[in-house]
Amino acid sequence: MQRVLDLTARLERSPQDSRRLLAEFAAQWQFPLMDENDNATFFYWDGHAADSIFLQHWVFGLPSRQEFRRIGSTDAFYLPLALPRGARVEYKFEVVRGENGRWMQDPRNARRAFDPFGSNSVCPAGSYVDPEWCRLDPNARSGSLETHRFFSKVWGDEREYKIYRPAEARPGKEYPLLIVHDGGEFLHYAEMKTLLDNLIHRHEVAPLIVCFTNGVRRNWEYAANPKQADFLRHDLLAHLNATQPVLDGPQFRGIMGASFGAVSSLYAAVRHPGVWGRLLLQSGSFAFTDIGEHTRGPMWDPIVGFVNSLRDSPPPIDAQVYLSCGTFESLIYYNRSLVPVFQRVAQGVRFSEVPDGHNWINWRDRLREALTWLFPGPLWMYYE
Amino acid sequence: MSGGGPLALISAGWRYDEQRDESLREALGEPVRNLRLYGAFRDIERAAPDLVAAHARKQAALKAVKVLYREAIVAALAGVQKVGGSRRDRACPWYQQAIRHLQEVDTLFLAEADRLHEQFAETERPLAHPAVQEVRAAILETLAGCRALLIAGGHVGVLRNRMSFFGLDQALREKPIIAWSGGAMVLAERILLYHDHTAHGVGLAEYLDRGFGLVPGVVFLPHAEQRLDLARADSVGILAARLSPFRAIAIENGGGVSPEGERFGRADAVRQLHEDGSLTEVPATNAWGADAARS
Repeated sequence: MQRVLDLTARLERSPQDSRRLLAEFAAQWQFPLMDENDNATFFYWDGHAADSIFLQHWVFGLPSRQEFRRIGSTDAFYLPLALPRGARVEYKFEVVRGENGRWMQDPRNARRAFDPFGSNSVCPAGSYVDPEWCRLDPNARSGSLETHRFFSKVWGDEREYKIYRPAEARPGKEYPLLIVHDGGEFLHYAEMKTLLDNLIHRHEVAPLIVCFTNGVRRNWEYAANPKQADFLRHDLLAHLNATQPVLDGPQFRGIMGASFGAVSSLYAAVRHPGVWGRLLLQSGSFAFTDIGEHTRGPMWDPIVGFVNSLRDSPPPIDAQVYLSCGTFESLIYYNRSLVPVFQRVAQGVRFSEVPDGHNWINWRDRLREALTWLFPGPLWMYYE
Repeated sequence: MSGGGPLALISAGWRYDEQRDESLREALGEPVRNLRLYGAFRDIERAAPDLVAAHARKQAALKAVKVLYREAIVAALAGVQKVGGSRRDRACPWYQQAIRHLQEVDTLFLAEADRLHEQFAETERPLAHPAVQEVRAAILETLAGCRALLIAGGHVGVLRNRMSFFGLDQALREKPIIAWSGGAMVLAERILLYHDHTAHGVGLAEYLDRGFGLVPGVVFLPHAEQRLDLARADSVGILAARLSPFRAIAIENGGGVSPEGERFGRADAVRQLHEDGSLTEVPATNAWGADAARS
């Protein structure tokens, strides 16, 4: 912020040099500007006249569209924003010229986060650390990833999935199993193969067989749908038991997902108790109502019904539950509300909330903590 | 290590990578005979499946005991912290009693482990099995032709179990040994597992099992700086008190110690943890002192 104030003062002193001063300022700093207290200052200047600039973000609790301030009488704009410590904000700019508003990534910030809808610019607070365990480690041996198809009796169609096998896989040896909802996205946007390779190599996570599955009519299938729970139990798990070297017993079986994928995972554990002994639930869309109707649309009806019922009379959940949610998500209230429920009925719960949003990097960043708790590796035993 | 002959190597702690010892051979610049204990056990799996199944049952029983042991540690350690906390008065009888209880939990686990190992040895007599005898004889013959034995670290549980399965106790006493990390741990009387910095929080230290006892009165804590919160005097003090009368010896890269108590390498790489929470460098000679602890 101080740097913008200094720039403003220089512009006031030398208005005839504004273009040069702005160009020098833009070239000098990395944007958004960050100070030691994790205050961010966003900056926009493209050398052309603009009517207004807005910051578009997905931080629940802040106005989602915040207008920039013009710097003096120039075509440059800025917006200060105080971030919680360690926060990570994904955003876009909306540049308004006349009647037209155009959304774009921050042209002066190369940091991007990708998702199925494209990409956002990323503003990490100074204290946010991009985890090194997500990066490709040449010393970590690469597990294998194979695509398979099989016929699902429940859905009446053929389903595709990918199987990750740890590098150490040997004939005759069996491993715990983890099934991942939205598996393609977890592989692509959350770099899950790389981090599995790394965490297994470092002995932090037990060598695992991981099945990456995807829905076809995803939202409907994942929204507390009994057919999906039956598909997971009777089709997919039975198929994997027959075709993969997986250990028997709920303590060796995990299921995970984010958003609606978390709902599907929890619903599967409730519908088929004793099958899934490890649940990894990220930013679960666990909407419920204490009174009245919900306003999230009909797609959410079965979810709200399921979570209301779960809260009214929670059944025993024979699983360790890892739950995480970003504090910038509207879902944080629902997730926090489920923690005491799990504390009563599950076999252990860990809850992690972080200053981040409903996005793949948030979900990626939690995986080390989650997987090392649910499937701890033999790090404890390694001294080398 | 005077005299001729190659060096023998036990690298079973590397598991599947047991024989990937090229860089070690290169660094030593001398002939090395890998005793291949991990691979030898896999040979036994094929040659004596019933024996290996019995061994697996023993290990599963040990694992079940360990579940109870861990529960007991949690409760006992909570007691220590409750009556001691950060303002610990070591003379406080309640604190001392809580430490004794923690030690009793450890002792009970080790006794249970002994019982299971003995039961297996008596009922299965693994060293009398022809397949084991054949493999073991080859290992001992190779070892006999070597002038010294190197024991690398890695998975300390696998390392200890393979060495124990092939009955190497006596053979270990007949050769000069250089062991590091997990390799040093198994030569002490007791093997402690520890890690304060796991991704999901502080791990509670626990005994793996007994070691081979070549270095009496000591529990080795390799890589302690990396794995233990040595800046916290209260946790250092509790660990030292828990392990007493055994000496808790932290060893970092660049330092080492002989069974006779000669410290070599960097002075600050070999330190003893004390019950008052302090760490002291182990002296260059007489490292264990005149009153070296005995089990």
